Amino acid sequence: VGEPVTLVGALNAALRDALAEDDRVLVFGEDVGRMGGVFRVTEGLQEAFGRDRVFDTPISEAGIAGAAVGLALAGWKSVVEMQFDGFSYPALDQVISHWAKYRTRTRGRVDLPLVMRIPSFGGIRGKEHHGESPETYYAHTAGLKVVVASTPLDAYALLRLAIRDPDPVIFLEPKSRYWTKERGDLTVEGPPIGRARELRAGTDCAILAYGAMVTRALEAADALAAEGTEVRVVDLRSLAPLDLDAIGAAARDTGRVVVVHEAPLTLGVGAEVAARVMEGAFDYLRAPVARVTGWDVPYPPASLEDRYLPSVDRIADAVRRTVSYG
Amino acid sequence: MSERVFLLPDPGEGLEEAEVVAWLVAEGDAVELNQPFVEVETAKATVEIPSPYEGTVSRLHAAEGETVRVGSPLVTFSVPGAAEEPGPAAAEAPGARPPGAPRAPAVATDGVRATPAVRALARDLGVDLERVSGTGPEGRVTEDDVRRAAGPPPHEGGTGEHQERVPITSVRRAIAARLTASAAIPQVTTFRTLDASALERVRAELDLSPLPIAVVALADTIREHPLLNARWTEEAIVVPRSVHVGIAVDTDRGLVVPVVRDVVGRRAAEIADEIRRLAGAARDGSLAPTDVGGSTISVSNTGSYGSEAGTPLLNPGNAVTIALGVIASRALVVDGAVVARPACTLSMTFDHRLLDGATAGRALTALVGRLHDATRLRDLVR
Repeated sequence: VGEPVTLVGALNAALRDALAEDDRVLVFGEDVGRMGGVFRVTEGLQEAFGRDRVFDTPISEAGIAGAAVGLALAGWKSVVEMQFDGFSYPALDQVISHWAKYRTRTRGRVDLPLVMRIPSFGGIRGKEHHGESPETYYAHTAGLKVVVASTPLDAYALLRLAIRDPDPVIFLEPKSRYWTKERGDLTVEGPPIGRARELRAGTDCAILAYGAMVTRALEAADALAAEGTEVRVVDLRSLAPLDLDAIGAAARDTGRVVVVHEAPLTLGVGAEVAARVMEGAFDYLRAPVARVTGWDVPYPPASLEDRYLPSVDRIADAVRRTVSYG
Repeated sequence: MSERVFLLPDPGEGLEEAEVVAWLVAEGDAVELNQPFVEVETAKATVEIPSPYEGTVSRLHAAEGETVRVGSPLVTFSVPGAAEEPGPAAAEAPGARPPGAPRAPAVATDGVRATPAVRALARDLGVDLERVSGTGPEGRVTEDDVRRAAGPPPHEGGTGEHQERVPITSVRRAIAARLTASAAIPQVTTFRTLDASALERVRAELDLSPLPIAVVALADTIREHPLLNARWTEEAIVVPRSVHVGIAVDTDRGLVVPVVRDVVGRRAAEIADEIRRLAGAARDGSLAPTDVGGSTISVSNTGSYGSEAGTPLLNPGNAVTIALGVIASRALVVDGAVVARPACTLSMTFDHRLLDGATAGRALTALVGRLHDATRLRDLVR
């Protein structure tokens, strides 16, 4: 079915199709116009749709996020890019104080169909500010949806769904997976925002992961299958709202859950998943929920990156400990 | 200081006991965390068990050479400080007990260690976790411990809603005893596809079924491979000179194996008559005592009920059972071309104590060679 598409290519296609489908869709941010984005996600869009719909902004993330709110009130649907995870923080005030609150501020009467794309997470040997995992800041803010794509085809579907959503969506892109390829149809058919995807069946343990960690979880599951341990792998993909049904089913069916993310341990998504598992499936647990995560330190320099990110071995070891717990 | 009783853990191989081979510590010795303190031998391996505590050995519960059951006390450690500051397990204990229930004796455990799933199971089965000794890691009560403590599930009465109980007949009981005895024999099954063109032609000429012809070919194969007809005894491999072929017969009461005696040198038609007589007698229950027992090899015509191939169990006292699968048209490759031919799968289960795979394979090849060759078959069966 067609040529293999990269994650960058799938995102570019999603933006292109959204711009073509709906005249009110705008794309803007730093270097997204003439240059086509530092990761080439917006390449060719300004040529195709003109400088009124795809345009460069000053280096002012708060300005980008704030302008998107005003444009939304005037009827536009903005898809804005934060050039890197670490540069999204100056926009946090606009996001927390306005993006997240407009729906309740207007007693539900005003839609705010905004998407913030953030190239996120580590794994590319980047410098400081280029390997952050900001998902908890957003997922902890009520009023925002937070999604993370792990593969090109799902990235296409998720971004199209995010753009069609009447409420603000924070769209996190795993930079280290940008150039991975997948073959198949680009379509929005599939699970909606709020639903996880089960990528591998198994009954001995379940690994819940998202973003670049999904691939590592699948590799760990392969290694464990060779030892006779069958692991279910679930791509969470929607961190707000979380798919509590899928999380509960994974815990009830296997009794053993391992959560994996790049973000630091403390108060990460793993903490929330562990609490949900405990609340929803306590009587089914055969072992404590294990978390395989980054460490509670600022994201390290490139030379230490491999020691920071959860490796396939760390993930597999956590599963082994969980399965042999008792 | 507080006392910690260490129970023999489940070695994880489904074993229920282990022998203490050697103590690596004596009572009063200091031990470090993870220091091996005893060597135990299970049915599968000798292992050293590391100490889960740092402290001193206050009591050894078994002598060297003694066998200890999984979950029984093995050693008691004195551990510093634990009595003053209860660990997480002790803090967990109140929730594990029904309100008002007495505390477990402080010596045995410092609270039940069990996962939520095990606690839920214990609740469902009405098992008091305080009374179960844990055999899991760190003395954790496992699902198996709870199920053992709960005992076997209650039987339903004679004609319950969910099941019925069928009385065991003496024939069924005898079959069960023989097959259970057979299961103790190390046996393997090897397979060959037989182009049954020659067999079909010859049996049509003689108006016989394939079975008596196969029996004749088998008897001739045994002349060349006498070990097929042998039996294993603890003293020697016994090789009878006569060949008595047990024929598996399906009856209303179950499997019966009457015996065609002295098949060597007999004509196929004669053997066919004898098989017919024995099968009839087996079905109407009129077999004479001389009709059963004393087989030296057995044949099962699994094709008679349409089965393509079987892995028959050995008849104890035989070294070989042959199963004849159903003869049906199959795609075979003959001279480099795919053609439809009558064919079947021959399988041979053999006693691996006295026959090696290669020996058995050569013998099966010899049998197939005879069944492939119409000229040779005609010579044999007349």
